[in-house]
Amino acid sequence: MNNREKYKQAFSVLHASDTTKMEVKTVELSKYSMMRRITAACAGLILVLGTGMVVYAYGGHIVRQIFGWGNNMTITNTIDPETGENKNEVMVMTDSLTKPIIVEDDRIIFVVNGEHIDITDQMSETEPYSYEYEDEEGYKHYWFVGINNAEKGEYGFGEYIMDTNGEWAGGYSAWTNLDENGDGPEWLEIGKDKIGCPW
Amino acid sequence: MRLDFNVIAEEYRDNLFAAAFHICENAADADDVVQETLLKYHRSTKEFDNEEHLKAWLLRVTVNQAKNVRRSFWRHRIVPIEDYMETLCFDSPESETLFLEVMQLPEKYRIVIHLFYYEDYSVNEISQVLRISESNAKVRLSRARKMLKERLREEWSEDE
Repeated sequence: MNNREKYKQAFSVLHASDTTKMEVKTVELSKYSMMRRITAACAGLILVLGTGMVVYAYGGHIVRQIFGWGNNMTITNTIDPETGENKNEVMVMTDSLTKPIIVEDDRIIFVVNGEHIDITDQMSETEPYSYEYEDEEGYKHYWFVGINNAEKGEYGFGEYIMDTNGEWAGGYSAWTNLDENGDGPEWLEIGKDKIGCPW
Repeated sequence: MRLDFNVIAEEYRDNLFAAAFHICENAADADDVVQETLLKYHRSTKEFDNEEHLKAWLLRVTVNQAKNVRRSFWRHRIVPIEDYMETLCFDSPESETLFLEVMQLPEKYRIVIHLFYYEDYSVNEISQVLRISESNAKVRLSRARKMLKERLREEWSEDE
């Protein structure tokens, strides 16, 4: 048996679940799949949906908390005392959500880490404006801001966080339009490549 | 050309799932990626040159969707790969070892090696699906094969 045959045999055990054997009509309902996926992934967890806040939590010991996106988002790393399972709880404050990019008098201002930075002409659709800082806990925050559509003045951003051990703790991007193939904006991919972000 | 949605779903869902699994590393996320890809096809009016073109498009969308899931905070690797593997029925211990070693490769090498060995894609076709240069695809494939050879030793030949 050659390598190709060995490979195909090994991975022939992978099959999509029966839920994907669906009629067209059923597929149309799958726009809710993200919520189903989250619910499924959080089996045994507590799902709380508030008016201004979404919290995915579960009973476990808190190992660390990381604050990102200003203070709009909290990542809480917890460990189940019984199973030793390590998970992340993500909380996004949607009622007080602030966008880190504001436009004033045709200037593009990036608001981050207590600073207001004029980043006009410092980014494009292919080259992001990059910013990094280390927070009080020693976590490194890497920010990228780029232009999604220059004609429409649409901007996006992404933040990626590295922990004190040099491991990537999490990342988030917003207002980053995907094209028909699901590709993200080029500026974001280029920015992530520069810092070696795996996502 | 376009094929009936149900034909697409039946014929390609396992291939798409396998590709998504190589990136997401868990079945729940891979299933969602397959659903999203099929939904995207259903909503698309895109015409394809032939079935190979269609399959390449589906794989490309799958890869992109899977990468989006992977970079998302909503991704949870709840089940360790070893635990998930216990739910699978491998033909032989060698297959199980190969599966585990591949899944322990870095993601960018996993997907390249999967497209090469599982989908029979050429380096050029891999570069188009992943939207990377042909030379980059060639380097990744070469490194991935070298890593596999180092890990699997006599179980992995150097004849290809």
